[in-house]
Amino acid sequence: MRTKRNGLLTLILAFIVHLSFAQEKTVTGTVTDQDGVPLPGVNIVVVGTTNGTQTDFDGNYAIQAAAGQTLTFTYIGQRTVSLSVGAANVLNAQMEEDAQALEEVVVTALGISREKKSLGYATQAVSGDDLTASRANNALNALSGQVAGVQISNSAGNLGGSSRILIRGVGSITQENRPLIVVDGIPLDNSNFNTAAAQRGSGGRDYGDAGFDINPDDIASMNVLKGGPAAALYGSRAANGVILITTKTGKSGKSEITVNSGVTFESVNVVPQIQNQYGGGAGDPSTLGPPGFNQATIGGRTFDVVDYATDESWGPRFNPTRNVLHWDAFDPEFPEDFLNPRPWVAPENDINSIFRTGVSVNNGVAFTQGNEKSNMRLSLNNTQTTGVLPNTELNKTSVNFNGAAELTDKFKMDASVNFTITDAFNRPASGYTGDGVIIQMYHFGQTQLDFDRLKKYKTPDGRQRVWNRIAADNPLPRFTDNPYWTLNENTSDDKRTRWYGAVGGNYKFNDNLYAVAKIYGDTYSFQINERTAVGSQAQPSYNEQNRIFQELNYEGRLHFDKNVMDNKLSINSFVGTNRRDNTFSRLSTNTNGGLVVPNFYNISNSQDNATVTEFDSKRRINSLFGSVSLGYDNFAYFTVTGRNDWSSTLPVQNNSFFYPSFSGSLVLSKYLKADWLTFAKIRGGYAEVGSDTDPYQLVNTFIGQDPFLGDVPFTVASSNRNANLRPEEKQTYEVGLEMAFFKNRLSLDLTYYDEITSDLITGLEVDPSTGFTNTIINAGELQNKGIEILLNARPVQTENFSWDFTWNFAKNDNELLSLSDGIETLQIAAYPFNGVTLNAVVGERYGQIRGTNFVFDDAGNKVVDANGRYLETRNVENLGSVIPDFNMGFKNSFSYKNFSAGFLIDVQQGGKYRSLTNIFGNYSGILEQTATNNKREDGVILEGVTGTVTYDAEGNYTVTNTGENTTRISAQREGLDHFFGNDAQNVFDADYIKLREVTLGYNIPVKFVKAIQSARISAFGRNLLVWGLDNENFDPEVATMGSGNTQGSEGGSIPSTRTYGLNLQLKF
Amino acid sequence: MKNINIKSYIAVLFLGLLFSCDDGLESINENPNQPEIVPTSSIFSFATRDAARISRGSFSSGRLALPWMQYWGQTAYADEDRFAYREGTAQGIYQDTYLNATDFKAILDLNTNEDTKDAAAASGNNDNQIAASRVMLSYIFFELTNYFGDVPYYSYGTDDEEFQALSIDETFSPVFASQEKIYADILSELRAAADQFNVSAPVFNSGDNIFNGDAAKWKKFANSLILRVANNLRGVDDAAANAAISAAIASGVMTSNADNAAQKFDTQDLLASPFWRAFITRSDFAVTAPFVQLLKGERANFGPDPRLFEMAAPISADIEDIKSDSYERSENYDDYIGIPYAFPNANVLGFNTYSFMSSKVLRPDYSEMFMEYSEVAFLLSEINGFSQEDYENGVSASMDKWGVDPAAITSFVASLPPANEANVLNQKYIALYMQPSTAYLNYRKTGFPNTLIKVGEVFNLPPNQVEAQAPDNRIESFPFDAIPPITDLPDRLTYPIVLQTLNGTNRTAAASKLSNGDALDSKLFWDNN
Repeated sequence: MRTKRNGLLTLILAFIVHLSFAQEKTVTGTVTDQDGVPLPGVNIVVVGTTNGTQTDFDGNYAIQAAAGQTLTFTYIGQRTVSLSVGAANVLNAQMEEDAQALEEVVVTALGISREKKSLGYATQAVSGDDLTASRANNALNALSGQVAGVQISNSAGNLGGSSRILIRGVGSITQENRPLIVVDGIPLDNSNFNTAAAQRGSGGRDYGDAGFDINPDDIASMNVLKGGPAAALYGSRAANGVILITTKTGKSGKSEITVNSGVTFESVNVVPQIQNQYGGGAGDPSTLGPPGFNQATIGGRTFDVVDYATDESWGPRFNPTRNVLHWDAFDPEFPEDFLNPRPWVAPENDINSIFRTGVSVNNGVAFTQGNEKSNMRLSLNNTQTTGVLPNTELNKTSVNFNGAAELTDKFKMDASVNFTITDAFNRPASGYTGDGVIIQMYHFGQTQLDFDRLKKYKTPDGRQRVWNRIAADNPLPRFTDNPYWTLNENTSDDKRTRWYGAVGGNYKFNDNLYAVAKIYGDTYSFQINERTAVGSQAQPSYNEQNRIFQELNYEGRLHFDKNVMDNKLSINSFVGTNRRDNTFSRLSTNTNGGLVVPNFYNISNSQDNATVTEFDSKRRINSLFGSVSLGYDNFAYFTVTGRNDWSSTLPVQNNSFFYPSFSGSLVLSKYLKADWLTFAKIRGGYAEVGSDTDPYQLVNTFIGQDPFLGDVPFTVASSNRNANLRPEEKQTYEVGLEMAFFKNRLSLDLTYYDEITSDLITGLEVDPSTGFTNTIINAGELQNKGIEILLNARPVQTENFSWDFTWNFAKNDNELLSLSDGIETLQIAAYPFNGVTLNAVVGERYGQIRGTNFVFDDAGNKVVDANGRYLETRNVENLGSVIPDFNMGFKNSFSYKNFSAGFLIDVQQGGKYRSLTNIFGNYSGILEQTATNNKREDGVILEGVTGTVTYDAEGNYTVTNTGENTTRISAQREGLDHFFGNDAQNVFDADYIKLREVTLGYNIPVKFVKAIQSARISAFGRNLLVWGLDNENFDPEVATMGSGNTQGSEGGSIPSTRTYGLNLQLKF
Repeated sequence: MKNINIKSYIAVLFLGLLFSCDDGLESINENPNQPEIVPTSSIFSFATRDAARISRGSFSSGRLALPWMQYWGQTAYADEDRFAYREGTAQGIYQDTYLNATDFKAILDLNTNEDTKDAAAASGNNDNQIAASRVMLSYIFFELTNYFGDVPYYSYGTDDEEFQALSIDETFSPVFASQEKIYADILSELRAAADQFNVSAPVFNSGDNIFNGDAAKWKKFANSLILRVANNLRGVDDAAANAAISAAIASGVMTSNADNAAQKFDTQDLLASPFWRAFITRSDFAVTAPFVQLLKGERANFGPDPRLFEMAAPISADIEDIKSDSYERSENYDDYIGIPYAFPNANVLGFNTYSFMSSKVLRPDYSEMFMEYSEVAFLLSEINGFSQEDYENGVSASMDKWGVDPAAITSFVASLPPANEANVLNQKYIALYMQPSTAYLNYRKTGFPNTLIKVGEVFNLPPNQVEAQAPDNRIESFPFDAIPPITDLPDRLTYPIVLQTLNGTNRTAAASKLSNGDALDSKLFWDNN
């Protein structure tokens, strides 16, 4: 009955309001804060109408309203003020800081809004403005350094490349460790389709993650659910945390058009340093001093010629008086160069001149509209980006629509539709592959090459002109193509067309009970094709891969909320059910034996029979879940949740798994009263989360091959399946403390967590003599424990100036507690060359790089052999983990009148990576360090001692009879031994300190143009400076070539980049 | 109101229960991409081709056995020629052999298991399929154990607690079986297999790209392999060796080139012979100087050998012309010059300064030889105290196989120096061109051929190769500089490094049984040279 009465009251009120709108007038006024300082940007709405405005920079406003109407003034961090319009035309408002600003409402699992103070776990939100301030092209990358406990690494130089995201460390050994991404309730697929070879640095293109499709400008906020208690309701795939993204929606009472235009420039930042004293040639490691020139007799004349067939730089010392025939002197089609010797000098345009400034142009427009009953937002965005390597391009277009309407008092509907096209041309290949150009720049190349001259890469009749010709009289490529041929002829395309969205309804039975029904959909097709042109060093080819992904979630919930005991006890509860259906299919096809017709790229152009591979997969998870939250008197809160999943990927007998969570908090400041203490809360929680696995892990199968001499051959798959898999289980404990002081001028959020994942579903690498290279088992326990600190301060606040400071810090200790019986080490991936591997080792942190080490004496000196070369241990050792010790971010924002500025410093300490470029750049005499201190002429005595090394049967050693090393070896020997010697010399610390973001903004006063509500111009920079590198040739983040567990391998990466630009935002 | 409340809760719960009873979940997880069972002939087709690929690949053979036995050398980056082979090569030989063995074991299981053997019989006689798979398993395990020494081992016919390979349901860490036991079991498996063949029934109806299903030839192959294996035991366990040899000869060994066991390949690049694939985009290997010199009659005491024109191409032949079999053939020995072996600066020599392999070798459908009659003849000569007749049979069979003109064969054989250890084994080495792992086995066992360039030996470059270099620093001669501690050839490969991680305890136990630990210069038990 009470509901009915309420409804009636509303109706009567509305009637009165409608009756009295006759006498409109202009109401003006000034809005100030509690200290009398004018507040700009306060939203003012005439209640019951769509009429609204904002205060200008001086806190002034003007609005049409009639006497009797009510104005509401809203502003973030201030209590909402409502004032009735009376007879006066001036209505000033003073707002008060909301004493409980921490009483903010946050979005929690399943999109349910809760008061932050009631939560028993850590969440950290980042606003859309913070995410877009420095215009990162991938919305998720913008989180880097912003959130305690979220570690992001991204190889910035790859156009739209992969991002590795970890929340609170690594929980699974070989399965997914990336968080779930949820956009407005839609679980958004973030697959990465990079080949295993690309991920381990042995070559390929980085096609990035599917999460790249999110348009950063549509994001209102991101909220990171870090631990089990926060994420448990999302079920099995939230075991690694959840990034909840809420997009912008239409606001009640305002129509707005926002136009955003920006330009971003990108240039390489940390590049390998190249020597500029010697050119191409083979050299001889057994002697000191560089070699001379080969000679060729052409048309009766004898010329000095370069050793083109050798892709190394151990050649003659540069000498401007020596004229030689360079690579481009053999083609009569280019008369100015033909048989025309040029000086032997360092080039004007060296290797690094291949890079250009990439440009990204972003244009977006958003329309929002809303009233009390409905709202909508439509946005369009287009970004066109060119990469730092020539002829590379990425375009993204997105359309986002969302709307909600109250159809009746009881029934609400909402819907959202997102459409995105991510369309790339020729994303650059990196790693140890001829598909890319890095290999001939830093691995195997010649330092005298003038890259400007290489641009003439083709003869008029279309033949490739290559510096690495077989011989003076043989123009065919020996090992490598001309880099400009590679970039211009051997190109690729990829295109992802994606739709995602949701429809939902909300029916309110009464004040206490409502039901929600939702359907979430995410589907895309992703097409990749790659070309190798006729005339390349590699066999001409064309391949095409088509993938179709679809996920549908059907969800129903019934909520019961009630306050009892004089409103002292609040109950929020719901039960729900979800069905998730995933389907994925891939059709890959490639030509064989070359292409028949040059420059025609179609599978039908295959010389031999083309290969076609089909892969389809389906997965279903049914779930039932529920939650009860109790709150007492704004002081004590307690939540219990439970969820049961039934997964199609597990054996029937083990496919049902239940997991609960408990969490609670106490708001101590309700009883601890002190002037300096604004807020204090302790919280704690426990959760279990189960995980299933990928489809088809239960039964062994045969793999079909291309037809051979009349049969279709089959072979046993090299991975052994397991019919008795059980779900993986993760247990999380978490406690935290939140405090605020001095009216929120200083606040602190501390979290300690301890997570143990057990029964890990693991693709265990086994001795191949078992008949398989790996087997799927439930084994082991992995522990992550750590602390997260978030400190916010506003050290200075005056009338015109404010300074905000945020420090976030996260330290995660990870240890593999156990594996399967008798197995101490699990190989996650093999890095290219020399048997160096990435492992999980019992008793150690996840992600150990294992390889041979230097031999050290007891005093810690490196031991050299009788020839003065570094020794190598017989056994492989743990050379360190790819996972850092800690990450932290310092963020500073300043505002002064219409100006704002900020910068973010992102620090990573610890972690290792292995560099293949360091191996081959030294091997081939390209890197600067191969020519320092005149070592090519004089040789070098390695730092170390001589000694007698004795090995026992297990390969352990002792060193005796140590003495001074006086043996001189050639620089080339030193360089070659980066390949032939131990692996430790190519493993480096992944420490960095980065100036991650710099922003500068100015709100342009726009009083003189009526139509414009606000205008803001900003300048920004990203990754501008890097300090603290172990090896100055590499940014440690380039060792990320995929977003999976294979990390820490720099295999010939595109150098990291810095970006900077300008952005203009206009609101109408 | 209460009513709706309860009803709704019940409705949601009911929905959930429906889901939980969803018996569709199991069928959703049926693999649509890969079958659980396939015809055994289709497995055999893959497995024998894979066996050839594993031992004849551009790394296992091209950058290891072929250069080590100085048949071929690398045209650049000759590090492996100096025995600095890549870790991945040894790992590949080890890993791929067991994956290959798993395929043969699948055929054995499908033909043995009562539930599947009748269906498997559609591909051929059960016994014959089993016997052929045992022969192939013996072949690949013999290669493997000769590279490393003790290795995990699987036997179809013998239960031995040391034979723990290919049993993933039992153990993830198989012990390394002793090489003595492996040799004994290979002899016993080959004997059992030879006796198991039913020569009046086909082996496989299709998919046998070695003998087209001819069980009689498979039987001869099994007996001939016994000769190879047992011969390597001589001087170590003569009793076992001689017993095996007598039984094999009695049962029937290869008697002509028609009995040769060779894996066929397809003409398409993807399915072509391993070295054709290696040469699609690169030109990494050429015939070495010591081998060319041997065939020219400049090393050892044979006259000029016309097989040179079949095994190598003249220096004038362009690599593209060799691939298209369109170069001008030369029967002038002066037109053939080998690439200097392990020359660190080989890459400054132009492709026209040395001989590549002939078009008979570098062709997509080149058949990779597992064993041929001429080797059998040389084995018989050795077993019979270096008999002249078997020796001559071996030489003429080899020349015949390479397509030498019969008249030239007759005259070359007539001019042969008499049979003795050196002459027989040097001729056997020539006949084993393109079967380098067997030649490497023989070298370790006997020290022959004695025509290889030794570590430290100085090699003089021919004039055309001196002139091809930079005038400032021409190298006219250089010593063969192997990596330490090797002074002859490596006695074995070291165990793949990953085994330290994957099967550490058992690897350590096996390493500790070796004379010098897990090192290149630890001799294997049969190596009594």
